[in-house]
Amino acid sequence: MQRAAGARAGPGALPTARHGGVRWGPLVPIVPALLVVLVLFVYPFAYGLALSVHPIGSLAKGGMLANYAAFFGTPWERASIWNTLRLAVPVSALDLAMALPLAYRLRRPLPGQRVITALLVIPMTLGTVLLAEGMIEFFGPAGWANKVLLALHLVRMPVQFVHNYTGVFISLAIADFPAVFLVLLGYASGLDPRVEQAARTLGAGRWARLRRVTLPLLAPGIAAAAALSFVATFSVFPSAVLVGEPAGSTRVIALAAWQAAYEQFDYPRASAIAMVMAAIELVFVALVLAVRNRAYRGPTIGGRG
Amino acid sequence: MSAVARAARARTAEGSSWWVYAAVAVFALLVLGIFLSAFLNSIASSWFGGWLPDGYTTRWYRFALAEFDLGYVLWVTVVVGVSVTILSLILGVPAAYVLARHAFPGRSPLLLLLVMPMLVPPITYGIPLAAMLYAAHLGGSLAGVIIVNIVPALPFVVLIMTPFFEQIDPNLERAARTLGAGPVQVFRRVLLPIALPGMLAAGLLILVRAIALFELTFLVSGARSQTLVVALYYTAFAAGIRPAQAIDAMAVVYMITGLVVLLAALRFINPVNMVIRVRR
Amino acid sequence: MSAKPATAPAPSAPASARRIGRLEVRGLTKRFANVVALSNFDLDVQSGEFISLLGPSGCGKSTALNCLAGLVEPDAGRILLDGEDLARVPPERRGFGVVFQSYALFPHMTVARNVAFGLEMMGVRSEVVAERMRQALALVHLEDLGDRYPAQLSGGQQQRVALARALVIEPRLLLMDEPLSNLDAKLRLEMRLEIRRLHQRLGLTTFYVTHDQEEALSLSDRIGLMKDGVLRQVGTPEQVYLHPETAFVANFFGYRNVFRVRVGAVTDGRAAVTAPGGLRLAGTARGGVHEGAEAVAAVRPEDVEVGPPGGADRGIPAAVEFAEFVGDAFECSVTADAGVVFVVRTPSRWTQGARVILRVDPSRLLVFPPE
Ligand SMILES: Nc1ncnc2c1ncn2[C@@H]1O[C@H](COP(=O)(O)OP(=O)(O)OP(=O)(O)O)[C@@H](O)[C@H]1O
Ligand SMILES: [Mg+2]
Repeated sequence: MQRAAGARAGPGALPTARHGGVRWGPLVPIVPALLVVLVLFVYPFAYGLALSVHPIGSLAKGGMLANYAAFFGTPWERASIWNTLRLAVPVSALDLAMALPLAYRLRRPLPGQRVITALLVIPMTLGTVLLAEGMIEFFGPAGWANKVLLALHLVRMPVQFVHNYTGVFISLAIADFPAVFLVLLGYASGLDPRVEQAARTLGAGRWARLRRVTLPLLAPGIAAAAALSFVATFSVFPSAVLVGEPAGSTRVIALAAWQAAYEQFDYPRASAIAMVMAAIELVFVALVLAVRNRAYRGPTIGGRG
Repeated sequence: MSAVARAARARTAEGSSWWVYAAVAVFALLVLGIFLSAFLNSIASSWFGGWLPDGYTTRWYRFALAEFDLGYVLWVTVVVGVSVTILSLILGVPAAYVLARHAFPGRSPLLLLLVMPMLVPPITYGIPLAAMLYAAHLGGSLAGVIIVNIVPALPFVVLIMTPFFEQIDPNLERAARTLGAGPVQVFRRVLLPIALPGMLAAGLLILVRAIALFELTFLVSGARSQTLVVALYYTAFAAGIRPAQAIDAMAVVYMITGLVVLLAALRFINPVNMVIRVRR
Repeated sequence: MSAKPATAPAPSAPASARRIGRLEVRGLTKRFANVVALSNFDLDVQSGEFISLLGPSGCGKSTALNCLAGLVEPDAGRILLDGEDLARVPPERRGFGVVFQSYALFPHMTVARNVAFGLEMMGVRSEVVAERMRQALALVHLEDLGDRYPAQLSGGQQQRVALARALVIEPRLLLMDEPLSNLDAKLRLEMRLEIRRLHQRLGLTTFYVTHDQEEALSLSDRIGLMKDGVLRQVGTPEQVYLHPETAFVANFFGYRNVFRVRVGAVTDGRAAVTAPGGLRLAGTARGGVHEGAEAVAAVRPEDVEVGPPGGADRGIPAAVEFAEFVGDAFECSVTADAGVVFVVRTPSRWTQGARVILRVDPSRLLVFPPE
């Protein structure tokens, strides 16, 4: 975790196990948090799962999986998965690719470092809705982006940036970047520069150091950032509506679930869609972790110790 | 610097860093352009096709204040943000301490369970949770909005505070115990003061997130419990009915609220320490 | 290399280490923000020599070593290896082995992969890599731990891995930065012997940084003493121990009694000095001590003789403040009536408050010009 915690003062620093038994007393402080997670997260999740296999209305006769069958059987509904993936995957990849070199470089001091980090983190406060509102002006037919492109004679007609796939893509890429950057920065600043120097003295050039030392050591951070970024972009909702084309190419899966619940008031079907979402999400996280484990085996040592 | 020295520097150090400034400049310009577009529009009397608005006015802010009940919405936002932050710290800090200090069977699954809400889309548990809250007559209420927002905030506290406690030397607590302090006193007199910077960091980040979190609030809130984002979404969604400038005015108010909190956060904490790392 | 066939059989692959001719360091200077970490550093190192850099914390030892390794770029000065200027050679092409104080093992690689890394970078064939890695691990007695990760090793074992990793590439020059400072006293002694043994066996030219005078004395062919970024004296252990050139060096090697004095007459290398409180002493003048000038006098605790009051010749009347048993002798803190406090070493215990007479052999009291 942060710092070389595992090596020095990790779990077990105050051993709880005694004579093979466990003293549960010291664990009591965890109970309230656990209860909250059980009641407000696990139970609703299970409730949703149960709800999803009890179809109502016209689907009630279709058996337990009717909601799922309906979702996957309707091309229009099914397409929402693809609509979401073609946003979430490229946006996450782009943000990772941009944040990784920046985080790696910014782990060492650079003139103006605080300002730079602040500039990169500030979009966190914009929020998707303001971003969308600003984008409608900025990227609109009469907005500054098109004005600049026209003035530079790069285009002859205003480009359509918003109310389509591009609009949602830009909005997500900006909104998601700060979190990805922060996670990677945390891991990168935990790297012990001595380790890379050691690789250098052993004859490793720039590329070999990157491939054999730096990237493997950053693999846990890259995995964490990828997973978090995917979760965030995969559940995109407001920008898909505001700067996208919610009735077409950016009808994302979260929107499909919401419409089922709040426009058709079919909670069981909405729950089924939500479960599909969760499943895709968890499959992706598992994939990321599998790839990460190929890159990095052995115990994780925090950096700075 | 001579060419040779410069070449030598490029080899021993890691090359020049102009690309960092270039990348940050492009990113910042884009963000600034988007923000300024919204901001200028919110103070424009009208803006037709020119590089800048045709004239300026504060009318839209007054309009938003009256029409959208902006004052009340801001109040709700602050109440929700602060309550969620405090409650999730109260719940999460002791849990993080236990996870940091004790090895016990099932620690890893428990940690995974506690951070799970960060790993699944909020809508997946949000829809049934909203249904539950409505059944419990909490749907649409301020309490309901606060309750749902705790769910994603709690894992955040656990993820930030666990490593923070891990790096505190356990001998400090042992020393306090030998000096006669009981567990509660150790926590209150020794650990809390040391952990305060970490809690502040976690708290400010949660506040930023709670202000920005959309989906769950959207699912649960009623007419009198909308936070700024949700109110903004509704007005933006119903665009055409309301003047775009008024929506922008509201968006700017929202942006500034978040920015104030984030700048406060950046003043107190190095971004490097605002970060989460998951040990496996 | 004069490896004895009986004790050094085949596994000493690194024994064929590339030999360097001569390393010349000229005028190396490095400044960080507002400190001069290294100032005009000159040193010649001969092939096979074990040379230590000794000095207090922050004096610039690591900076000097990092300049040699190519990890820090000096502001001025040159490093010549057999006449070749290394300024344009990046660390990865210098072929120097470096052992870092924190070891800097790759946490994501097993011990075996750590050791193999340098060979792989050199493009050595994999069978040869495996063989040489095995030999290197044998050299540091870690044959059985190849599959462990660094986090699963003790400090001493990690230290050995770091050593094996640096040795396996048959470095032209071995650089070690306080390699033993993270170990406990017993292990430190053990590893010191190990390093000595490896050096004798492999004959590697070694540049060794430490702040432990005993380590430097026992390991080195020559020792360089540093203070505030400046190399103060270079010499064999005997030279620096017996003939320190400055009060700083003297103090580092056991001249624990150091005080400011004013120089009286200087004749034939003999100096009459006056210590604070008017205490008059006779000593041996080092270069640059002039009549009437300020100076620094230094003497070891064992060179101050303690006797009972009375007796024929005049000594320094003093009183014992306290005595400590240090194993083979007693160390006493004794206050001269003139006010100067001496640390002295005596075979017998003196009781607290006892009146004594101190005698200082003029040939053992060194008088240095002030720094
Ligand atoms: N990267 C750096 N930036 C600024 N100052 C530095 C840097 N590295 C070293 N210094 C300064 O240069 C001086 C010499 O440092 P150096 O690390 O060489 O000391 P050292 O003799 O190795 O000390 P130690 O025995 O504590 O390791 C110190 O005053 C140190 O503070
Ligand atoms: Mg050092």
